[in-house]
Amino acid sequence: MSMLSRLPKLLLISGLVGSMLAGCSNNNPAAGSENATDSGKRASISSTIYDRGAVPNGMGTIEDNMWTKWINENGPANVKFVAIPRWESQSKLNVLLASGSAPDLIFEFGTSIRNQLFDQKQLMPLDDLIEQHSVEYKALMEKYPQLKQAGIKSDGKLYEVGRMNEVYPLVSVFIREDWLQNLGLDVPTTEEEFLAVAKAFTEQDPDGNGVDDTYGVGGFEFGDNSGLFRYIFNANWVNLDENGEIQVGPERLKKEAEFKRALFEAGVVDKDFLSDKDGSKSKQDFLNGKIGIYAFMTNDFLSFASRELDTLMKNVPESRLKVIPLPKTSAGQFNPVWNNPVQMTAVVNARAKEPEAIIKYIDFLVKPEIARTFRYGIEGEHYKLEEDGKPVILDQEKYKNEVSWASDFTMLYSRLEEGKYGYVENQFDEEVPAQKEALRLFRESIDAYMNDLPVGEGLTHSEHMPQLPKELQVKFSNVTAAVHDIYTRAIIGGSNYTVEQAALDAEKQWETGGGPEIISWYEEWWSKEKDNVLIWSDFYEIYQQQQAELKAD
Amino acid sequence: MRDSRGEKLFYFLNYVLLSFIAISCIFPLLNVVALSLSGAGAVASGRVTLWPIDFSFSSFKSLFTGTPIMRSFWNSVQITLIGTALSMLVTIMAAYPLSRKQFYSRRFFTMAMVFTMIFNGGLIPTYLVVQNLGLVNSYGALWLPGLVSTYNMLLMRSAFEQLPGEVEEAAKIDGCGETGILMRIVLPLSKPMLATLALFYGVGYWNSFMSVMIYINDTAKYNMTVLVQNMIKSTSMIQDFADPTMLASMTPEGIRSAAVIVMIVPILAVYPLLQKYFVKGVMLGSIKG
Repeated sequence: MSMLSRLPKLLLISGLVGSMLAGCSNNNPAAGSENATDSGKRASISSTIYDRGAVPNGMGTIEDNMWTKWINENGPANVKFVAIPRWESQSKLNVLLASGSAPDLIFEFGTSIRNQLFDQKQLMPLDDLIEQHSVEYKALMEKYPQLKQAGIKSDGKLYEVGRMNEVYPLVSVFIREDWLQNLGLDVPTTEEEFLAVAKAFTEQDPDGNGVDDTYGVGGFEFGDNSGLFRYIFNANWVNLDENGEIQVGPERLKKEAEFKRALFEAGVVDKDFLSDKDGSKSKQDFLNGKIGIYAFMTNDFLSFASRELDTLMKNVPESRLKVIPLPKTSAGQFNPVWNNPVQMTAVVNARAKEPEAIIKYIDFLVKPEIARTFRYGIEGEHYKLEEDGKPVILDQEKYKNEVSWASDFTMLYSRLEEGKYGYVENQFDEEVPAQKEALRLFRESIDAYMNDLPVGEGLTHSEHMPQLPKELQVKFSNVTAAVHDIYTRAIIGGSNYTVEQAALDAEKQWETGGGPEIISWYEEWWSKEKDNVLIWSDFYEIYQQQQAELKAD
Repeated sequence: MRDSRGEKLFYFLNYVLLSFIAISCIFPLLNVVALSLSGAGAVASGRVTLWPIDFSFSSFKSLFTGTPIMRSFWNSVQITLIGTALSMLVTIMAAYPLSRKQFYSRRFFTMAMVFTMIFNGGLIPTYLVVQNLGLVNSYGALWLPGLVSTYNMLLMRSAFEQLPGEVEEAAKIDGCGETGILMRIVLPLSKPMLATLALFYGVGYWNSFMSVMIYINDTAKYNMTVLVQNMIKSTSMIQDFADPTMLASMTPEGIRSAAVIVMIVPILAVYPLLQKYFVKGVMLGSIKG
């Protein structure tokens, strides 16, 4: 098996070979764009579809099932689907492209993967095609110019299409309100109060069981809670400074480390947080009612309701959660990261034969009444619309078996175009106790985090960050890892290693590890692209637009 | 003879250390078994460690009815059985001539094969070759490029070389041809080695992942490793969940654990059957005379 077992290693090497091959085997993009499909014959195109191994037994395969048949019956073209294993999408796409057998329409969430395809000149520019052949997507781009802005690549042409998502916080910080009441404390609003409350939660037996078994905050190295302190201090490597200029480097990390060190030394966090490699210990502690402040990924409040929240409500019935704004700090006050509202999801293969049909197919998938199908199923069969337009699932079991796994067909579905029932707020079923509670927390989280404070995730959402050239990227990863280790040492180092010392070491590491090169690359990029890049303030505007529409509806 | 104190201490420490290593290997497995047999709520709250909580077979039930696990199981069986048989056949056919001293320029041919252990074409060129042979999307793409593992072939060659020449001479005198010598003398005498190599090949085919993922486009032909990997890994793609209903299409942890169990059981079941050959395989050639 030496051949097969060596394949993963080969993959690395062949990345280079692949890009070389790809570069030369692809000389005239858009050559087939003259191919008219209006000759009466139905066009045939191909498209990728993620395979997550989730299609139930008896429902066929992800590339051949009731929904692909439905698309071929109702859509504008015959579509042949090629399954792409979700986790290995990059290597699968690489071989398909290099061997000339890649599908025409490529769906890919990974920004770096799409960027790589662009760098290899594998993609077809879409400006003219959309201008000439699109109705739906063109209208969406007019409504949300950001969609166009995000789809344009460095040569000024549009290559990517995507969807608009609702803006809401991806992370929420929960505090045990019942503990606050037990101890007669107020919600902490500053970093000092945060530390004091965490200390009280640790030492004053907030659950009243007479045992010293509680911690103030969850572990801060791994898992859901790990980003919390970064958001609190906006401790990021690539930032926007007060003058609207880009600032790159480890300077902002120091305050975060100081605070974490203070928390660590006060004993409010599990001393073994470093060995809790995926944060699961910390998460369990919270769900078993042993931690007072914990940040969860709440990108999906509905499954948060059915998993974590439901578990906590069962394990600790007296618990009551509250979402708190991030505390004010000496670095300012920030919001935790928000959802990316302008998400690019699809590109077109430069060698596609029938681009017009592809655009028609994109239009088809963008239409809310079509895209809705892959989310709710067929009207009358899987769901019904109530009088006010609320979709209601008729049979959960049937829905789960036939529809729930089809969501990867909705990668171009801008859900908010549904009107108010596309919004998260209206997804909850208040009959279910955990969901009712989750809705309350969701509203609190919107109140706490959707405002014009800066977002503590640096310049912009990671999906809108540019791709460093490979060599610089390696340096950057190395130096960020090294600096991270330096600060971790300072957090647990006691008197042997202070944060001051760590900041000096970090600065040195940055200087010698390629810092100046990386800074100048980002500065050059920013000076060229700053008007095109979507940043947090743009997302806040989108949020306001979305909310205004919700109110109007 | 009685062991001295020092020896006793040594054995004691050895056993402690070895048990420790054994336990650290077994615990993760027990955890997976426990997860697969626990209720969904207990799994989600992370209360399951080594013993199932809220014991139920529901994960296995959903695994067999709700996912294409059986299809991929049969695919794995097919890939493994046919692949192992083909590989063994061709490996024997390569190793036997190379083990014969009278084989002309056997050194050259051996080195030519060893060369492929060090250098190879890389993924994309290999893919192009496979594609031009028309093998993409068929199991031929899994069997053919890795049909002979050079390392296994070398093992087999040296095993054949170690057989005493006198036995063959005797066979020849009794009128045996080359085929007869191979079939009636060499292979029966090399059973332990053959069993070991068959297991190497079998495990390799059973676990084949990258090749399936790269060459097979039709998900109905996926084997278990790719299916299970897909189930496990796709839960960690945060960006997919910008649409808050996407998580519904994820496979719950209990079911994933059950899938892992189904995947490893056949291999676990084969090992004890081949155990006796392993011991012989290790002893092979150790005592002459």
